[in-house]
Amino acid sequence: MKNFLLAGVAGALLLSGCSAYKASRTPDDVYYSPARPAIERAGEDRYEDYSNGDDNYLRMKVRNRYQWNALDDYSYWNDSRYDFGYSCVPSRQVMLNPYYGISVWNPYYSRPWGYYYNPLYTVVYYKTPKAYYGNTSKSNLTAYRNGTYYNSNRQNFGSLLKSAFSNNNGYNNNNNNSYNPSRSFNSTVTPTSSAGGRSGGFNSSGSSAPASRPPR
Amino acid sequence: MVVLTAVAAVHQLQDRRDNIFSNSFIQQQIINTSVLYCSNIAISQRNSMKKIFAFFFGSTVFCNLSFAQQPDDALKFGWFTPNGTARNLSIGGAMASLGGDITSNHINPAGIGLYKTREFVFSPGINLNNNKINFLDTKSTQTRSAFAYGTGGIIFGSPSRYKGPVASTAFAISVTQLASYNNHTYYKGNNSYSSYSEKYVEELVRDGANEDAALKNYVFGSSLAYYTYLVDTTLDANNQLSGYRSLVPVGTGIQQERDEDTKGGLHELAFAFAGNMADRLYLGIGLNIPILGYTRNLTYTETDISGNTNNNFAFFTYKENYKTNGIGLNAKLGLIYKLNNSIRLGFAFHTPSIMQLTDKQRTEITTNTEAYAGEIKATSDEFNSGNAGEITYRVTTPYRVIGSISFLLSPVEETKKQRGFITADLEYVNYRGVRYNVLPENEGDQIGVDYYKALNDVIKDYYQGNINVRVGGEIKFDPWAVRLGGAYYGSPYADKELKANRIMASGGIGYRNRGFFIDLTLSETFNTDVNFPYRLNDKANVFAETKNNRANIVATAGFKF
Repeated sequence: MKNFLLAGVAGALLLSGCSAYKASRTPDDVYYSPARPAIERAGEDRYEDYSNGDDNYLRMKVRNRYQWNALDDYSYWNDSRYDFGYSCVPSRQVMLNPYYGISVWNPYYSRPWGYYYNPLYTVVYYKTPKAYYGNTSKSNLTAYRNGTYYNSNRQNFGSLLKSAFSNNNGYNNNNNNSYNPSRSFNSTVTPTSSAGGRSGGFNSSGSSAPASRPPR
Repeated sequence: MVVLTAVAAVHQLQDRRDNIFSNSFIQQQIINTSVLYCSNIAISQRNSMKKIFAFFFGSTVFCNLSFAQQPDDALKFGWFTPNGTARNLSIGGAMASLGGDITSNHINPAGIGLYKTREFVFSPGINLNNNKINFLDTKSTQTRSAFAYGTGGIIFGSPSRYKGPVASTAFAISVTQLASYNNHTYYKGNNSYSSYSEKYVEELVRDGANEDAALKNYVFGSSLAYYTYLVDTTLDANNQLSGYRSLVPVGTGIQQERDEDTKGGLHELAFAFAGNMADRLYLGIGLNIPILGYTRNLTYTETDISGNTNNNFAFFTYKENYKTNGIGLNAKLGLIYKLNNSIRLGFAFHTPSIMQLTDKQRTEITTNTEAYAGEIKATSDEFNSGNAGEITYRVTTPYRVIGSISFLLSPVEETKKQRGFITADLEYVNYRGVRYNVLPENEGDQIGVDYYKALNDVIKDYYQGNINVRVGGEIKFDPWAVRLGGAYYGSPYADKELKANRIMASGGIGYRNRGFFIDLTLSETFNTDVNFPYRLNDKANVFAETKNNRANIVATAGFKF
């Protein structure tokens, strides 16, 4: 987080040096965001633009005649009327109109990893302990469905009544306020070593669990 | 990529080193892991690339998401109060129709469409938590301060050169902290009704676990309780296993203490693009990467208060170290429409986030049963070959729908004439929409599929959707501005007996001149909630009433460039 702060301060200092509003009031974009007035597209002199292109080309060639020797017409190479999309640069038409791009610029053939390798492969999935397929009642989840509350901060008749008639769901809770709370199996249940398995969402079977409890 | 791999390795080692259960075995593993990383750096590099590609493409295609594995954890994805720049925070976080602030990137991306200028912003801050908790008529307090931050980033507004339907476009990259999990809570109280240990008794009996299963199949809870004699067997007349019992003498009273230290946050990296149609309609779309990091260190203790040293129980302590990390993907769509120069209407929709998360858990139980078995400690590491419990899964977070209106006084170009605004957001969040899933390649894990289905069913019943309200305003005397705001977040719980809400009040000032602006805000959030130290199926559940007051001080500095 310190790095984040330092980067923020450095960026701020860097950009504050090139603020375009040092000598004027600062725009508040919530109210109004200023911009140079837009001009009519039709009002532009297209011929003038092409002439400017020629002028630019001539100026560049004067500066370095060898660098621009291969080009004999700046306007030709930069005029969209002659843009056929050759070479490694996609046609401007492709970028402007996806219809043209389907056949010549299909991303399927342009993936950085090549089309032999499918990125939709299995994500590596770690979990410990290893998967254990046991039986669980998910009692940690079913307890959320128990809407009765014992809270001496604000006991009222309604909550006491709900507590008194709460459903034990068939399991024997033979210990309300008893010395040591206990539960006993239903008569239909036979205890098994395959119980358990997903305790609180975690697969749960000890790979190095001790064989027995410490002696009493 | 080599650097990324090395950083990942260091983080993994750091995770282990930080663990409260570190021991010589783990230290040896760290050394082994280091050697492994050095010798296989090229392989790691290639695998890391694969994982990154697989995650992003997999997430996009499968449209899943991720988070915690108990119903309580689901709230971390959605129930949090506003955050943003100091200006946004000071007006209660209402930003869905106002626009012109980088916080729009995280609320309504159409808002950045109001920019025709370029701006850089960052927002450091601090949180001060003050917790007051009432548990069984005993009041406890605890405080925690932590670094925080609001929204920071960069906006490029581009006015159109030519007249036409699109007056301008804007692109923004920003990062913000949606939620801060930094807090420390503590409470205690005397209870003669139920014990934490009963959840282990319940689990073993309801699962039909014999003694072997009780010892081995519940590494992070019941097995540790059984091993340390916090719970023990009961036998019938034929000396056969008939159930389980707790050694805790609930009837004569126990003191229960819970100490929870949480760290981390939910962050969001946002990329948004917006178009301005004739300075009247603004349309925006954002692609966001939520990043979650969460650590919880929990210590829970029950102590015998009877004074009897021969009742087979003195105390037990449960310790837990729980970490969740992961990232995801979501999109935000929005529009702002200017009815006239002074009234703006806004609408935004946040898709659910699709996240892939990894949880790691280590637990420890120490029980003193006096003459019964003495004091015994057991850790999940001992039962699990020194490893933390670890699982990777997907979560889908709730969607949000926001409607908004703003009134502006004199929104003209001349900043001296700008006078202020009032704005309000109404937001619906479907908290019951959180969904957990196994990873697609683990769909054959039927136990996992069943668990998440049960978890999702509980979430649907336990939570509800609710309305949040955010209101704020500003009075401007250029170059100064004064702001006030507030927010109300309703209860996410379907059960009306569980009182919960979040109320935020905020205020701040701002200064804007010579291409530079700075804002300062103080917000106070009053969080009312409930906390269950444990839950039982067949007895009324005990809970604490928690009141967390969180002061949030945020400063935002920005530059036009």
